[in-house]
Amino acid sequence: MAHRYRTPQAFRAFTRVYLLLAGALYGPYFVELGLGHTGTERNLWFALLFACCTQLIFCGLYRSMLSLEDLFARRNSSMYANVDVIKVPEMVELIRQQLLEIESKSLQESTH
Amino acid sequence: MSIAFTVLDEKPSLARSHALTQPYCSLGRMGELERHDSPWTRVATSHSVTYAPVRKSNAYVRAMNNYVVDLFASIVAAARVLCAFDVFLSLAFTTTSTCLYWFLDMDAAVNISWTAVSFAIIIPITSGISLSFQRREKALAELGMLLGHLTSIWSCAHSWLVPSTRKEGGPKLVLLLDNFVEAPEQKREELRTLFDALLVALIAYLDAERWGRARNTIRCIGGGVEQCERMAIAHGSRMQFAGHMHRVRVLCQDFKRAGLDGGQCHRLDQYVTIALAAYERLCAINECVALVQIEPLSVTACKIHASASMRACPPVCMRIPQPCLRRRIREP
Repeated sequence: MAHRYRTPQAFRAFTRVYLLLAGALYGPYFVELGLGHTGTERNLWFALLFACCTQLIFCGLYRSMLSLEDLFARRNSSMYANVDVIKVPEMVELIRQQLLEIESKSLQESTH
Repeated sequence: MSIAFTVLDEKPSLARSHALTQPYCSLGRMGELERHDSPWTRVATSHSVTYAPVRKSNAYVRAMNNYVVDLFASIVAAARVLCAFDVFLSLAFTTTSTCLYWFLDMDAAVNISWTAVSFAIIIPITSGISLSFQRREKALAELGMLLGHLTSIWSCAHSWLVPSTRKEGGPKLVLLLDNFVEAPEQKREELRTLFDALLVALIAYLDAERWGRARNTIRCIGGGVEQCERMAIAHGSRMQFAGHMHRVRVLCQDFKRAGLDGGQCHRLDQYVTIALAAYERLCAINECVALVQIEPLSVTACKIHASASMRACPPVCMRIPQPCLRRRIREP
């Protein structure tokens, strides 16, 4: 069964490296944006803002993928944002309460 | 007497006389928003079922409040996702590169297609998210299967009736746990302790740090040793859980001494088997090891092992010393 549930390791490694390089590789494009249609405008701040926003979008997607990689919530897990993780202690605590409820009902029945 | 009747005893006048006779909602109004009390809420009250009452405030104010809170929470969640060294590093690269081109070589400005980005970044990320969500849903289903069957075993042990083994009169059918001749209370306590240990072992196993999939490591800077340590911790918890499940199975067989017949015992055993199978699948989803090897004689490679079949830590133990490897290569 295990082979079906592996997320591709190469995807993650390649995306991570390319994500770091993409901003540098696309430098000329952002400069082109700063120069505008006519090529005479000098808007460096717009070029930087667009470049940063693009990188933030890509990085956000990548981090979302990474945070899903580790399915279960951990104590002191500061590596990822833990947004979509499965909170096992909470789930098991509910089960514990259910077990106690079943037991108490059973004891009530046995005393009747 | 079942649990349902125990609940009904609390409101005998209303609940017994109207059980299953009152509609839960009007079929003609399905899909419409019922602003205040629905018919099912009255039935729920009669059965002592708690539910969230509808607050009688302005719906538009509530909706706007929810929207604002949701928006703010989304911003916070996005900020938490983006707070990482990788993000700052890529931002630094981007701004530095743009500034360098701007000040040093403005003539290099050119319109570059984004097709390469979509192939190199977007497709792997979207595929990765999709695959991860499939794993997550599968893991939730397996966890539900495991916990559901454990609850079933517990419930069966506390509700099944067996012929009484006591000779001095009394009821002919008694609860399974009460039918142990020697200290039934001790048997209850034993079952309670066993399930307590079982559930805690499950939490501990799933709380253990994964050793490979969530993070790449490099062997030559100590990644192998770190992975081995993490693997040993996780496998320790896993062995504990397996041991407790074995004790549950033994306990199910022990119920034969309390008068449970073989067929019912086999049914309980099936529950244990299904729970164990779900647990193994959960382990397979949780554990996969990846170790990047960087060694003089080997090309950088990514080895992926399913740890379910591993006994110790093969990535380190299976490493062949370099002199041996050279000797083998030279030998015909």
